[in-house]
Amino acid sequence: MGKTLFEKIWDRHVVKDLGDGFALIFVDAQMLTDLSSPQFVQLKERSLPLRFPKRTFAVSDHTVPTLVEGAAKSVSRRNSWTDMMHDKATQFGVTHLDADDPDQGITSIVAPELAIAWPGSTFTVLDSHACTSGALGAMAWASTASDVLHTLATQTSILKKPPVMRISLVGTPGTGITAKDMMLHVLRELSIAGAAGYAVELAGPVIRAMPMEGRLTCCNVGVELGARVVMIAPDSTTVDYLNGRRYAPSGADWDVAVRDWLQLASDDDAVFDRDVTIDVSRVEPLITWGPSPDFVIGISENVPNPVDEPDRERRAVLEAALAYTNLTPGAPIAGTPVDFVFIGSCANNRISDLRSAAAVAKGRTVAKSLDAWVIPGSQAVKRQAEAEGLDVIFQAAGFHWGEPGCSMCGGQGNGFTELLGPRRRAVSTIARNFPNRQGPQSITHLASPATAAAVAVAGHIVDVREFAS
Amino acid sequence: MSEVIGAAAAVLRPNIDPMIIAPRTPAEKGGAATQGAAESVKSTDLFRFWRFNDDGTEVADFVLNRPPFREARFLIAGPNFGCGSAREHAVWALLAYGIRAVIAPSFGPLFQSGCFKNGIVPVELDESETVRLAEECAPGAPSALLTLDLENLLLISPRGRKLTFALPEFRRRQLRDGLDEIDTTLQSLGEIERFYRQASAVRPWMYNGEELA
Repeated sequence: MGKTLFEKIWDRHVVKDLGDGFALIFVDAQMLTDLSSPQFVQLKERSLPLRFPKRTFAVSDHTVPTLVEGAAKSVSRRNSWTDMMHDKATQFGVTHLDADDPDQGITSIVAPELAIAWPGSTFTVLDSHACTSGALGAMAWASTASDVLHTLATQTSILKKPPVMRISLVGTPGTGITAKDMMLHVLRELSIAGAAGYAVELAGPVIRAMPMEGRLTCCNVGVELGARVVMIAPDSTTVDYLNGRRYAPSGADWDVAVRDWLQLASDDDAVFDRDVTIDVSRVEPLITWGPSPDFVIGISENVPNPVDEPDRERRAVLEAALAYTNLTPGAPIAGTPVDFVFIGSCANNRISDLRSAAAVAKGRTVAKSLDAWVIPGSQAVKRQAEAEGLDVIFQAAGFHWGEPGCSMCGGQGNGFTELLGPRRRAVSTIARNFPNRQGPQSITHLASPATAAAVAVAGHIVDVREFAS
Repeated sequence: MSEVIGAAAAVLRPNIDPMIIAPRTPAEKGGAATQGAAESVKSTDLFRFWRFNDDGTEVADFVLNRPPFREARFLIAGPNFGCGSAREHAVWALLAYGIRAVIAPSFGPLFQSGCFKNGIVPVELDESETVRLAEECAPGAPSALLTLDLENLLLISPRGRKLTFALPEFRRRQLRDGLDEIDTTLQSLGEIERFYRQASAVRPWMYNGEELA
């Protein structure tokens, strides 16, 4: 019997079987954020060495101010968290992309950009969207603070071998339908527990035809299905993407690596514990209506009306959701006035995302009734966007052009000052919209960068297809 | 820890994520570079938005504000408890409150592994059984104490019903003996080093001859 992509990578990394389905797994690389200095303090307190400094990376993304423009851009974004992390990184010989580093950015944007994660490698990040790098064919999972310390000290992680679920995307997506829309559709179909505990492999012709940046978005948003890892088999798109990146193999090693990577795809006779096929042909631009990533509707649809729901418990869930998002039951989602548009985060904010948002913004004006911010995912994305003049397009339209970081996705930037106010409504390109996500009592609607840009212009939730140029 | 005995507070809503269990606090603010680990989380952080009004007064009818549950040792929760975020503060807040076991039909994987690392027992029980257990442990139920027996993997309900549950054996031993996970793994350091030597011999291009400390 053949093996799945996931099983091939898992089997290569088992140090020891711990019984009951658990194993000690070797970690090829770990990436930390500016919130990770306490784990180094603990490491030192316990007199433990850092096991593999060369495979430990840190980037300042969570605490750096991002909603900065004009003169504020010249003020250092370093702060006590980043300084502490920098101090520990220096002490322990860890590469740290600090606030002022030309390669700084969000972990899950930077890891693929610099090829810190590779096909066939095990990669963990102190961030729940670690699985973004699964798009490269890596087994990438999120660690918690305790996991970080364990990996720093042992270069391993204790993991339970998950069952494997293949989600194949088929059909012909409509014009302007993005990777984000497709994954919101998958969430709507399967729910936020739809792949709970599974290792998910995204597959099918739609994924195969998708450029790497779209795949990264898919693997990022895929974690909202409850998946432990989300991954895509390496192919020529993967190889082309990685070629020449900083930490990718080079010279003769490159050819050996590529041969190895291209054998990682699931075997034809591999058996999946679950196998789901989802047609994305009739997907229209999607948006969430309630405070959960699977409360999704099409832009032309009406929000649910609890009176139509026969099941009492389900009805109560709908009522609570609508009370939180302050929407009229059964009313069209389009036309809902919005206070804030946030184009940022590791779900969407690579160069292709900014291009698609800029295409909508070009020659138009942001509605006076709202604030709209574009936060590039990394310094590299920012440089590329500025080279293409996207910053000029955004700013001419009235968008604010910020600095790379996690920003308002999680409401943790700059000591919590970067928050959406209570009851304020945002359309955001992030991946998660649970209650309070962008600040206490904030209301977040998830959507694609193009939809977010269209909303910024309209001042209310709107079908981006009305803006087709 | 071989046994947990105490009141069990039920919060059965499905899909409760770490930002609800332990909302972000001013202590996490970047300015002061606080050490954001277990000790930074207080018992009042647990379900802060549900337990307290904006003015800091208690929300009277929230379960943890009712007398028998102020000392709760168990939380009975809904499906997919702790889903989403990698935020370990959720586990730390439960720990700070005194919760030693969480009983739910299913857990977010990061939350579940965080429980083991911090000495909280995550007990998976099917949904109808969690609901029934919650009813037995509800306010007003006579002597609504719940017992967890880690030696025999048993829950004993207030009405004396014995419910079995499963834990991986190495996790059960770790919880029972209060073993530190890192110390346990470091006992396998020889195997880790052997693994690495082999892996870097098979795929030298992957590891560039770099040394493990």
